[in-house]
Amino acid sequence: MINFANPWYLLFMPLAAGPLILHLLSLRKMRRVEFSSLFFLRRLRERRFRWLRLRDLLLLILRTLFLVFLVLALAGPIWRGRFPLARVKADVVLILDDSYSTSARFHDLKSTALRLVDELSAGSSVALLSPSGSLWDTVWGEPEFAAERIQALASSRSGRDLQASWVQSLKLLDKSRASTRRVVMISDGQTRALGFLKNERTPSDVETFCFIDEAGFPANTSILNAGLSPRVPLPGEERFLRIRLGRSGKKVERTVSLFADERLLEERRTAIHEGLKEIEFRLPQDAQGVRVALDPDSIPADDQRFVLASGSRGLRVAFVGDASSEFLELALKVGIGVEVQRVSPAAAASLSPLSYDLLIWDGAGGLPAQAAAAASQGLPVLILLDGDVEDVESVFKSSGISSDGFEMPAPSALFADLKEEDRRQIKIARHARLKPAGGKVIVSLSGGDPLLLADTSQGIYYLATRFTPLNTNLIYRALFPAMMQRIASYVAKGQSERLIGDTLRVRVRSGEALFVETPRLHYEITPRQSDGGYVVEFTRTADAGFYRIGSETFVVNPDPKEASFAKVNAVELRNRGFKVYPLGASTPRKLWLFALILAAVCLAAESILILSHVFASRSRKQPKTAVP
Amino acid sequence: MRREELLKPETLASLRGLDLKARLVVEGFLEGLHRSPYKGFSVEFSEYRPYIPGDEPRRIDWKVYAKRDRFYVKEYQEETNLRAMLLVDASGSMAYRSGSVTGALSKLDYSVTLAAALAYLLIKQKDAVGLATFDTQIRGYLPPRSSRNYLQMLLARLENLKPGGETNLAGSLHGLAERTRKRGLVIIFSDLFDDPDQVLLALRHFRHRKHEVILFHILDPMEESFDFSSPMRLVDMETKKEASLDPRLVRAEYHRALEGYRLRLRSTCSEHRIDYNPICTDQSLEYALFRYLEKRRRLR
Repeated sequence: MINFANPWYLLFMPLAAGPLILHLLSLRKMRRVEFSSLFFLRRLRERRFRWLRLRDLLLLILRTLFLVFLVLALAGPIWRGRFPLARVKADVVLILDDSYSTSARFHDLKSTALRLVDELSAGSSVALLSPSGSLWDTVWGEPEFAAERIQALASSRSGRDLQASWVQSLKLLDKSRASTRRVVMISDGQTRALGFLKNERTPSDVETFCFIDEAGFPANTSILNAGLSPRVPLPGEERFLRIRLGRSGKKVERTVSLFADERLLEERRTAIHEGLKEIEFRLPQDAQGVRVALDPDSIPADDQRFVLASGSRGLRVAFVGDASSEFLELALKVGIGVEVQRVSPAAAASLSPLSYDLLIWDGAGGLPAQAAAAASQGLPVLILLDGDVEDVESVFKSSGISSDGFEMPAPSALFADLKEEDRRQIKIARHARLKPAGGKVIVSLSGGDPLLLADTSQGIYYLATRFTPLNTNLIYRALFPAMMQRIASYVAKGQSERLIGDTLRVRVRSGEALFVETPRLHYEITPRQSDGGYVVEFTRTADAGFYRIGSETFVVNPDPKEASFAKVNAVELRNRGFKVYPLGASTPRKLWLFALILAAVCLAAESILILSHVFASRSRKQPKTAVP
Repeated sequence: MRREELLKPETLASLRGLDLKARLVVEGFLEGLHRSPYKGFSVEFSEYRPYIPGDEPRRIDWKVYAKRDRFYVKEYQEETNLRAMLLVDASGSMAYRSGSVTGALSKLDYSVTLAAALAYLLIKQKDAVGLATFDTQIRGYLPPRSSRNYLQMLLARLENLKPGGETNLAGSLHGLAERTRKRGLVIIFSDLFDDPDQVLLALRHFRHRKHEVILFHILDPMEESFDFSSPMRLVDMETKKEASLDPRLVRAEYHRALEGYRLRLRSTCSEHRIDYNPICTDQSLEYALFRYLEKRRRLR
C-alpha cells in the first residue's frame, strides 16, 4: 500500500499529459512537402523510419515518465507492505534485539516494533523484552505504553543472545489468559542472537514470529581480540600487544591507534585484504591501562578494546602441596604479580573466588573433594597429577575424571611464545596417546599428547604430570617458571577481564565507603554485608573500559562474538514452527528518492537520445554532389 | 546575349516558346564550337534558293550570280544516315522542381528543352528525328522524319507535354523498343524512378534491336542533395503517398541509395555500350549536347 507525505502535489499530475499534447500538436504542424518520388526512401522507410517512429515514441514516453516521477517524488510516496500481525487482539511479548551488532540498523528494528504495537487492536497487551535490560521486572502494558518504551530504547553495547528473553517470554505468556498469545522476536538475524532457536520448538498454543533483517551486515571492521604476549612477563621481558582485526565488506584500510594510559603511543595504517588481520605493537614496560582503537565505522562499539597490562592486583594463588612441591611454589613466586599462599588441604574446601583467583593442588592422585568444593564455588582449580604418567588414560583412571567430558584438541596459543627448540624440551617420558571424546585438551606436547586438560563443566584443569626434579629435566630450565606462571594465568583468566553486561563483584574487608570509577562515572559506594563479609557489586556493565572498585581494576570489553557475520537460516527456523518475515516487510519505505532517481534516469535517457540525434545529424552532412 | 548564358537553365526558363529556346541553345552551342559537327557531310545538289541574310556567304553560288546578278544559295540533298528517337518521360515525378532555386526548370521542362534542342540539331543535320512520350504507357509517338517542317510538329508536341501519373518506365520502354523497328539512335530523358532491374532489361531491349542508346538520367538538385532541414511530411508526386521523417537523419542513407542506384546503372550501361549521363537540372545544356555529338561522331 502506498501513501503520500504531500498528496496535494498529485494535483500537478495532469502536467504529465503535456508532452503528449505537444507531440500531437507538432504532428499537426509538420510541414508537408511534395517530392518527386519516395523511390529511394522506400527501402529506408522500413528500417530508419521504424527507428524514427520508435525514437519519437520513446521521447514521448520518457518525457511523460519524467514528469510523472517528478510529481511522485514531490508527493513523497511511502510504501507500507502488508503487515502479518495487523488488527488482532492479542497478548504479545515483544523481544527486541538490542545487542550492539544491531546498532547500525536499530532504527529499522524499532520501526518494526512500533508498527507492530501500532497495528494491534484495542485491548491487546504488550510486554517488551530487550536482552540487555532486566528481564525479571517486565510487565504487561497497553500498546501505547510499550510504544513509549520502544521509542526510548537505544542499542546497547553488550552482546547477548535472545535465549533468556525467549524463556522469559514463555513464562510471561503462561500467565496470560488471552486467546491469542504471541512472541515476536525482532533481530538483525545474527546467529549469535537467534542460533539457539534451532534447538527450540514453538509451543502449540503460542504463535511465534521472527522479523529478521534480510540485508547483509554493513561493511564493518572489528577488533576481534586483543591480548598481551606474554601474558605474564618475566622480569625485564618485552611485551607485545597482539590484536586481531576482522571485517565484513570489501577490503579496507584502517588506522589502528594504540593508547597507554590514554596517551597516544602509535598510529598504524593497515590494509585488511583478507577477512582477518593480525598486527602486533610493542608495549612499554610501564604501560598499565592499554586501549587500542580503530577509526569508527558502521558499528562503533567494536572499534576499541581495553587491555590491562599491569597495575591490577597480582594473581592470588592458593597453593596446596607437599614437600616436593617446593620448587613449583618457588617458580610461581618468581613471577611478577603472583601472590602465592600455602593453604592446608582442609582449608581448600572453603576458599572463595572473592579471596583467590586460583587454587593449585600439586601432587593429587585424582580430584580431591576439597578441590571439587572450591571449584563448585567458582574458584578455578589447577591439579597437577601425581606420579609419572605412562598411559594418558590412566590420567582419567587415577583422577576419577570421566573421559566423556573431553573434546578434540583446540589450537592453543599458550606456548606460542616459546621457541620451537624449547618446546621440544617439554617432554614427559613414556606416555601414550589420548583420544579425547569431549572436554578440552588445552596444551599438547610436541608428540601430540595432552599436557593440560580442562573439565569445562566444572572449571577444573589438570596438568598431566607433576613437575619434580626427578621426573623431568624441565625444572633445570629457566623456562619452567615462565611456563607455570602462564599456565596459572591461563587457568585464572577471566578473573579480571569481563564482557559488557557482566556484573563485577569485589569482596572487601571492611564496610567503609569505597571509591568506584567507571568509564563514565566516579563515585563512592558503601559495601553491603554478605556471607559474613562485605561485598561491592556493580551490576550489568554498560560500557567498555576500565572499572576500578577500591584497589581492584577490571577491564570490560565488548563480546567479540557480536562481530560475527553469520546469520540464522530462515528455512531452518520455519521448519521449527517459527513464522519468519523479513524486516523490510514491515518497515515503511520512503520512495521519494527512488522516484527522483527514476525521473533523473528518464531525463538522462532523453538527453542521450537528443544528443545522439544531434550528433547523427552533424555526422551525416550532405556529401558533395558528384555529377560527372 | 553570350553563349554561356544562352545555355543556362535559368536563362532558358525565362524564355517563352520552345522553338526559340531550341534555336538559341543550338546556335549558342554551335557558335562556341571550333569545328562544325556537320561540316564536310557528303551531299548531293538539290536546288537553288534565294540568299537570305544569315546564310553563310561561302555557300553563295557565284556562277549563278554572274549569270543572274542575284545571290543564290546551293541546297544539297543530304543523305539521312541517322534515325533518332527522343523518348521523354512525362510521369508525375518529372514535374518536380525544387523550390530552393528560383526560376529553375522542372525535370520535365529541362528534358523537353533538351529534347527540342537535340531535335533542332538533328533536323539541322538533316537527320530523321522522332518523339515518344510516356508515363504509365506511351502517350505520344511521332515517327522519325528529317523534314524541317516536321520539327515544328515535334516542338509543338513537346511544348504541350504535361506531366502525367505514375511511372511504368520499363513497360513503356519495352513498348517503344518493339515499336521502333529500324535501327537508329535512341535518346531517353527520364528520372528513372523505377525498378532498376526492369529498367536495365528494357534498355537492353533497345540494344538487342541494334539501337544506339543515350540515356539522360535527369535529377533535380534537391533530389541529389536531399538538403531538407527540418522534420517534414514528404508527399510522393506520383502516388500521393506520405512519409513523415527527419531528412537530416536519412540523408546519408538516401545518398547511399542514390549513388548505389547510379553506380548500378552506370556499370550495366557500360557493359551494354549504353551512354549513361546523369544530369542535374541546374547544369548547362551544353553538357548534354556534347554527349550527343560525341555519340554522333562515333556513329559516323
